[in-house]
Amino acid sequence: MLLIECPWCGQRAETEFSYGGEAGITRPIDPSALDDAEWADYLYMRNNPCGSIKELWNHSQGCRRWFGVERDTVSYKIAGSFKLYAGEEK
Amino acid sequence: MIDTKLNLPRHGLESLLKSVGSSADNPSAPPGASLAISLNAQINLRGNSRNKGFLSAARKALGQDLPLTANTFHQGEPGVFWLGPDEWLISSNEESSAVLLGRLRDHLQDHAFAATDVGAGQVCLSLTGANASDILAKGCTLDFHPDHFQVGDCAQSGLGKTSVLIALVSNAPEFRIMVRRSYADYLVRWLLHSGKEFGLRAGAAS
Amino acid sequence: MQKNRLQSGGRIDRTQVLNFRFNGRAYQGCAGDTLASALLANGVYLIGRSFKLHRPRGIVGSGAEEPNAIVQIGSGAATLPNQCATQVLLYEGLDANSLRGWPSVQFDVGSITNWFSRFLAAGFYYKTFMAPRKLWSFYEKLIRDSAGWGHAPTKADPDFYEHRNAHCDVLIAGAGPAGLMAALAAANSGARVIIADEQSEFGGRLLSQTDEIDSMAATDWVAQAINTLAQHENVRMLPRSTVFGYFDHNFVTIAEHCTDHLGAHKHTTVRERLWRVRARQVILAQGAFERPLVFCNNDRPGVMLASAVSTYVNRYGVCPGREVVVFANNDSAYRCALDLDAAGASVKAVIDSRATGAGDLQQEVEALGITVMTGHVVTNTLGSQQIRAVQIAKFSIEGTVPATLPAQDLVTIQCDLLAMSGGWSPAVHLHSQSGGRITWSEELHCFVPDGTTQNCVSAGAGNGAWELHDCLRQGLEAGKAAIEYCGLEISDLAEPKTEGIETNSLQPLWRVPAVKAPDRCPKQFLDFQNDTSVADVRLAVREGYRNVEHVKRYTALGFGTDQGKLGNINGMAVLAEYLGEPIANVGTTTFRPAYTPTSFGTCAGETVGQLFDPVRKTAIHEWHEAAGAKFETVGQWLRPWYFPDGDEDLDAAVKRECLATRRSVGIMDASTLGKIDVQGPDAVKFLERIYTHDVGKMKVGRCAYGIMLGEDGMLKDDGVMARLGEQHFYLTTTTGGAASVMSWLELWLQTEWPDLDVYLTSVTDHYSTISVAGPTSRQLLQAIDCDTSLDAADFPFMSTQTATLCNLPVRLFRVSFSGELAFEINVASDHALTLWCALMDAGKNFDITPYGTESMHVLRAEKGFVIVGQDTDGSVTPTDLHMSWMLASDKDFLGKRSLRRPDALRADRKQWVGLIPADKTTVIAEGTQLIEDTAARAPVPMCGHISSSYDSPTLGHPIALALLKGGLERAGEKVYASLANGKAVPMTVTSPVFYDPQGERQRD
Repeated sequence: MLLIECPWCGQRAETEFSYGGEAGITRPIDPSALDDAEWADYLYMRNNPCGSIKELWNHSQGCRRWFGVERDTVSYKIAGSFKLYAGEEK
Repeated sequence: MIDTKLNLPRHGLESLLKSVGSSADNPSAPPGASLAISLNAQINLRGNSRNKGFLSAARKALGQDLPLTANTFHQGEPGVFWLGPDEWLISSNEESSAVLLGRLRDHLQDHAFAATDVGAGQVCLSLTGANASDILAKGCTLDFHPDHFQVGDCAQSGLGKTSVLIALVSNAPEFRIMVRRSYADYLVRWLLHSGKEFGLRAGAAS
Repeated sequence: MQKNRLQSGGRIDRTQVLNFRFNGRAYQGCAGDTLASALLANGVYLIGRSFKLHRPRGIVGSGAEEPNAIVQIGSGAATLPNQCATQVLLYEGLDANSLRGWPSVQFDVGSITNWFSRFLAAGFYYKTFMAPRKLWSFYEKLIRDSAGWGHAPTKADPDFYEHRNAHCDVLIAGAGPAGLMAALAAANSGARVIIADEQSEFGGRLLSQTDEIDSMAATDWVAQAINTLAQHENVRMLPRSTVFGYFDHNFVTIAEHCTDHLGAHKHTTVRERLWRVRARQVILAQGAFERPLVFCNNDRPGVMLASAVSTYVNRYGVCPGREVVVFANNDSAYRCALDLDAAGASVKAVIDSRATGAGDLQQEVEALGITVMTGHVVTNTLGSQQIRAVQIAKFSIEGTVPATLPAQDLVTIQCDLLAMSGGWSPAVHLHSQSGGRITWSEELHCFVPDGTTQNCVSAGAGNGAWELHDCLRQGLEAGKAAIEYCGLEISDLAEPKTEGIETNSLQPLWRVPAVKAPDRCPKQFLDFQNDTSVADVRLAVREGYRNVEHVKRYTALGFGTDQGKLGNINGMAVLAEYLGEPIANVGTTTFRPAYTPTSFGTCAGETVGQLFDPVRKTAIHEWHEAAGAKFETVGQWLRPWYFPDGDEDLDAAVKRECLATRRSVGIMDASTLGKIDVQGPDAVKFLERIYTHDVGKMKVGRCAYGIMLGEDGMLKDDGVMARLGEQHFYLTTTTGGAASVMSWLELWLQTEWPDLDVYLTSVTDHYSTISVAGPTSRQLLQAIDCDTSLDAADFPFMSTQTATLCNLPVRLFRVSFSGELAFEINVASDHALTLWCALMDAGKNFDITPYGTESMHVLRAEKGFVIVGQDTDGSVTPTDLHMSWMLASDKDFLGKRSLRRPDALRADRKQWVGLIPADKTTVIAEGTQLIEDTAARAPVPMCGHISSSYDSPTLGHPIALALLKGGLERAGEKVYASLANGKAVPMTVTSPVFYDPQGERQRD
């Protein structure tokens, strides 16, 4: 069971979190301007690397915040967690 | 035809209240913990903690500061618990939700905020006694060692298979556990089962 | 009469006699015995029959490594199958039985398999029972019956179990010399320490040996250490607790056996506890396993590990033999000879494969007049159900192991016990589970831990330290290193004093040659539990197996309850020999949790019965129970399914409930709907992006049916949403979707649109929702002191307002999920039961009828309302559901772009239709596939499936809702429902709205 650092609540057990997939998939500002291939790329294509990946986690049993985690998919080592937007909080 | 004149209690938690206390294995042994249930007024407050105006207006409405340190709470009347960087739980045994809501709305009207009555949706449990943290440890991954979880600390986490807010209100130790109303029946059963070996008893509702 | 019990010595209590039974016979043992030591004390050598060949087997070891002495304990619901006799603590009344052997373990009919065992080599079953394929199930039953393990209980386990989370600075697995030393070092610095050991007593090997530490008996040193640890508040000592799993981020699981040693108990206290420990630092000090030696008939009862013999003598006061031969390739077994001599046994000879013999210990042994035969090996044993003699031969390794030994060299020595030692293998299981590497040490001739990815360190014999002073030193160092890592102050604890001895190094000897080749000589066992022999591994290599994992699966080497703790290393070394490769290249099989067998009860903990899964109850639940409702589980909620009147069945109750709702008024508890309160200046902006319809145009006080799409354009969730204020909305979600929708909305808000000032709060539990539906629902509300006008003009369909009913503040919604005039009432949950009772009371004058989820489903199906998750499956677009009208054209919303993807525009998409059986009587099961042509040949193409199906009380005939290819254009056509019995029922395609298509009743 992973030990995940919530940027607000600190280290907590994996059971408190839910997974949100790869981080950094930004929604296109104007989806209607995209052709089918570009839209499919945003919708479906993920890197799935063997090694370090930035991914989304939600502290669902805690403060309900979504945040980023940099995790190694081989060793499961977590390099660190990060907030998803520049401002401290809203 | 179904009898429509069933004489039933007001809030549907009476049988739960009754079940607390009849479960101890050995009623003569000193209880290692006791459990009480209470309902109180609760408001969920949202707002921008970097907005000084919001913070001071909230202070005026509540008579105390919103806790800005994660996973801490301010005891008092009302008590204020940190739930997230822009979210707090306000809990009162003395005032009604309507009164609290009214005061918050009056003071906060110039700021972006949300104040929502959630009191009827939550049940407040009080778990007290020497073995209280042993019971919690059976179903919660938080570290309740006195060096790590101190009076004034609170945390949202899982307990058994449900989500809770746990706060340490005194070194008795007394833990306050807030749980969603629909899960209260399950959680009380879970606590009674887990507290069996410590002779968990019913305490006075606070 | 415990004929092998020594007069004195050991850690058992001779004054406390315990009665027990084995295979129906009564015996006596002492408090402190294991089942194995008690059986040996009584001279019981034959414990069971082997798995495949039904060979007689006895006790080999003294701990978790034991492969043979696997027994069934007790009977009935609390019976424990596959228990290791060396780990079962004896208690009064214990009743154990062998797993195999019919009619008895002494005379086992199955042992005839042994006579033709030459044909039962590895892969025998695979090769022999290939054909005819149809008969495999017959063969399988025979094979399983003749082999097989213990019997699982057939009734529910009366015991209870629990989980317990714990945190510590230092977790120590194993309380032998290294573990205890590490614990002392860590505890001294004030660290939070958990030290666990699978044995009933701490001390490990120190309990089995006669060493001295700090000039006192090692057992006294252990007692002193335990005493010291007990004085530290932050130290938790867990005896009878096996550290069995090492997971990510230093998460370690321990199975604590709390009550088994107490004997037959009342099942009132926890039997086993699963500790789930998060440790900052882990010290692995679980020690090492002694290896057997591999020679002909090395499985005969009376052949034991030398260390186990010492354990029985020194710890349990049992001398398992009178005339003993010791056979070793290393020094440690000489201690066994000394122990046996001290116990009064006659040590006939120490057979040492090494020409050089041993170091200091050899002189000690010879000083007692014991013959030491260096440069000799035991090549075979004689006897039937117990060893009678060994055959020894001269032996020397010149370059390679000789293929065979000359028969004329054989010398026979009579004995009733053979103590063997093939060297030691560190228990690297947990280290390996942690992600750590292991490497083959050419110096120590074993796999040793080599580097970890987690905060973990190995110490003691588990790290290849065989001598006591090395174990103590490594333990001390590991403890201090852990303290340093945790940032605590290192104490000045000194290393205890021990006397060192000179030893000679071990001679690798993975198999002893026989007078014939391995497949011609008596079996040389590598893995006792799976009857895997040298010949089997040789055969596997000859048949082309190269990888150790494949050889394992072909020969069964390393499977079973012991997972090859005893035999794996010998097996891998023999494999390496036949492959002609160094052992390091062959490597090991993967070590996985659990380290020793762990019960299902321990895994389940308290999550059984009522606590298996949370049951969510609404605030009105007690009324439903009192009214005799039948319940169904929806997500975690317990919802009334139907309210039978008397002995009504489901169909009758649903018919009555539906007709009453259509005719007068029905009442339903809809509290389980997800409810989200949305507030903030950007609420409209946010919801415009979430919902497909035009949210901004909604006036305050209006409601709308809203749908949310995933970015893939598929329907995700639906519900009524209401505008309560300019910046204030209230959303409902499906019962099952409440949590996921909330977290999904937060995902967008927090990651994509953090600039929006909007706050979401779940009010699912705060408000209870009572739905009142039917032509007289308006009169009913008016009858309980409604303070506001409910007339259609003042309170039109799809609007909301606050009101008081019975002096209770409520919010009313004029929405309908039944097609009737209906009101949904939101009331604070504290008052829900009061309001419900008031409605029921007043409703008597209106023929009020409570209804459950089944009638709700029927009523909405008659009206053609979709249920997300039942009629949709994540592959249905709004267009497929006739909801194109809900898609606003002049704004973007989540999923909109996907609706233009070619796949979303296909003409043959499955689309939502109504179906009526042509015979107007057959109710088709939900999930039934639809076909176009009853004459088509298999595989018949499917054109859709039925998602909802009921016998409609209102219409008087069955109706169904279905997803049908191209369904939007097919009204009036005919398709067939393909039944499981091969029949096809003709169905007429209709609109999904069967009842009041104009919606006049709900707008009334």
